[in-house]
Amino acid sequence: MVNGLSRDADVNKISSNGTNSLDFKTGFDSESALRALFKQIIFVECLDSQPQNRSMSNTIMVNFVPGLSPDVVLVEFSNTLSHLIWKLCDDSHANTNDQSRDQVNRHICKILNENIPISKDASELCNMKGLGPIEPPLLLPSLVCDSSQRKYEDGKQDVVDMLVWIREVVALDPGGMRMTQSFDFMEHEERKWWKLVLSTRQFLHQKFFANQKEQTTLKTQIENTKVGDKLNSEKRKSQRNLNLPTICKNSFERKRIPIGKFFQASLPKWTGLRTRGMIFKKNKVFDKRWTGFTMWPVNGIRMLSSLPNEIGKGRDDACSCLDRDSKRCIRYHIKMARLRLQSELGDAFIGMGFNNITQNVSKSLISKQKIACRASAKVFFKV
Amino acid sequence: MAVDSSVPAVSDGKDGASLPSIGPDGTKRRVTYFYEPTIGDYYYGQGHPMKPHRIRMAHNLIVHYSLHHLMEICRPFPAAASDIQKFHADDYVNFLSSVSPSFHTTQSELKRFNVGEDCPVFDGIFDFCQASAGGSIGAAVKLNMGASDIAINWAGGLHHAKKCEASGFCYVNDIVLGILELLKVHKRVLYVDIDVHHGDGVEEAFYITDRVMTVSFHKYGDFFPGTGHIRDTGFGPGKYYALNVPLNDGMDDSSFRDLFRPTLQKVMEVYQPDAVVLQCGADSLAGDRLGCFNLSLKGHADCLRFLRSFNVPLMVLGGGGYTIRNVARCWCYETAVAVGMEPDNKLPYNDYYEYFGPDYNLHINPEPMENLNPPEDLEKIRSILLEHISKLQHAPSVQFQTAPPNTELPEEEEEDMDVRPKRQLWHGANYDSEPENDENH
Repeated sequence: MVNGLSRDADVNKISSNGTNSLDFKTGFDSESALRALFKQIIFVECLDSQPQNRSMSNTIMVNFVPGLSPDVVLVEFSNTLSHLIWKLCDDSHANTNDQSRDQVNRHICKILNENIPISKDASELCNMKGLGPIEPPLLLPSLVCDSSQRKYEDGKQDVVDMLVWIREVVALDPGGMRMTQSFDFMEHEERKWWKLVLSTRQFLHQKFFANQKEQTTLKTQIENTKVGDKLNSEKRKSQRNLNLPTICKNSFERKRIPIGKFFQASLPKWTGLRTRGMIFKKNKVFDKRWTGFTMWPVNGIRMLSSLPNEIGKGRDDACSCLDRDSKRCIRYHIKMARLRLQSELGDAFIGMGFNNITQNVSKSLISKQKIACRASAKVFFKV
Repeated sequence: MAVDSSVPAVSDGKDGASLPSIGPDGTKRRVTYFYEPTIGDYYYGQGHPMKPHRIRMAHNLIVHYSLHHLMEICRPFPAAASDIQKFHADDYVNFLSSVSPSFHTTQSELKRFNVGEDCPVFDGIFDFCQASAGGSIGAAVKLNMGASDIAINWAGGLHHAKKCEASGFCYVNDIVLGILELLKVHKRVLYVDIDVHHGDGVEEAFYITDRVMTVSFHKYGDFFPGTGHIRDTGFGPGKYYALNVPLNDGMDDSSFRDLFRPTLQKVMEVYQPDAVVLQCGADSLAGDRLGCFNLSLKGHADCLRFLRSFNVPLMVLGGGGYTIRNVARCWCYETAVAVGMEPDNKLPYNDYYEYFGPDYNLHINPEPMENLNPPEDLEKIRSILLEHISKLQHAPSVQFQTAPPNTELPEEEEEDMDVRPKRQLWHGANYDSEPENDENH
């Protein structure tokens, strides 16, 4: 059996050459991958404060540990799970303290929040067991060479091994030798993975296609057409090409609001000035630049001459044009409305940008721009 | 359920005024309207349903209806990166302020901030965010100062944006920034969202606080963004301070009204907010390109009319809306409602007249579509909502102060609603740019 560390080294080597299909560094949606990973985890409520009671190293487990303040809960990951997480999100982040690490934390916070039904009977859970917002730090053990070696030597390395197996056999060499070997020639270990992975894939595949039929979860039509294209092209490919991120993206599930420092706003203190009138007198409190530039009324003067009848008035269809309702007639009235507005608004007409809209845009273009505009219009309409 | 019996039936008076109005005149309000003249020039890209141009169209209608005589129009002061960082993460704001279509960014960075497909990088992206956020912060400051009763910013209402990422055509959550500004002076702020999509960004930002209550009416089930289940009500101190009203396709005026009015009536009674923020996403209108509700302008604006009747400082924001001729109609009509005016149905001649064919009327007709919200479902929803609201009263951690007695009020508070205070004029460089008072921090 190959030693864990060397396998790990292999994986690192493979991903560092950057030519294979599993390039986690760019274009890989780590959030979806993590989401897929966390779906496999069964959360065990373990809110007692005696961590020595349980062994963390060999299981895929998330523990909730009471934090310093009563409403904060820290999340502790077992070593194997954190290995998996870092493997999915690119190992290089594990030891750094940079934004990428922050991002992984954020994703996990979000996913945990979505998965743990905190809003369901939360009051009970919250008061009795002190489960509160899942705040970082997440106590995600860093990947340090020495310690990882020790962990591998612990012997129980199933999931990491499976991941390695998938990357070597399934992802890197999908139609390769090992798959064409007959079942009997497989090593015992490999056969175990082979079965497990295939049955998982089959399950996810069915789940995916069940969801896909009524797929309208995305907001834009543009995106819908894009997804449509993706789905169409997917049909031509083998099942193998369905990757986890796609499956996660398309399923509709009840989403929960995540809680933690990455999501909520920090509130300003209430100044205690309850009545607005009082504050108005003490204008110092306010940064008056926010009230902006008053475009209307101009110079603060309100002209109330012809008002009451004009306000809210619509168009008068009974015009005296001979060619009533013709294009020319309507154009004429639009122009008149514009002129009326111009005289009424004065400087504010330009201030509000009325000189720069509709047909008037073309007046502001220089001749070079006009030519370019016409040329592109020609191209556009031909196509 | 027993809860039902405790809920008083809402009087069906059209104007809806329910709490005693403070001013001598219940119909007039001092209205400030924020408008950035260049907002219509921003372009998300070909085929993208979000079109800032709709705000310019709405403005055009408003001015041609001469509604500007009844309000003050302000050009917003653009929010700086540091202002936006009061909610958003530093690295996200830095990214937004530096990104442009010509500027090459890595895939991972785009992925990380969810920028790309739904939320494309377009020319002037950060200027757009600054204008939108500046308008909403400005609206909040106006309300804080007591300088207006209603402040409108149709360029705002971008309720999906999250602290660390863009979402659903929204980059900067101007609503959260506006509410944060309101919270400096107002103890409790109510946020109401009638966009067809769930107001997830705002709910998320204030999910664990009782100082902001969020109420969102939205389509739920196989629909963006996927959050907003009726049982999601907040967490910790904010438990029951988020209200979600999940609805199905085809919501019409009467069903919406029968759900909106009793719910908000009760919320206003129980929560007693000092200020209200209404997100008027117009994609809940009939015939929207992305929405699936069937509201008319009147049904949509009824929400504003109802909230306005409580005489609480009100911030009115835009939001979604993807059939732009209807968005312009809607926001124009709602501006008229805000200033207390009923405009003619025949649209005045205006620069975008041809958009409004074939009838060139202000009001739109509901589509002949089935309402997939049967009365029994709505009844069930209503009783669950009222049950949630009733939990507010019993929450021990919350002290609801009754309105301060009049004797405590300084005299200037009693000023006539109709008399406008002297306005501060813009004197070029003379604006007051001193930082916020020390008391705030």
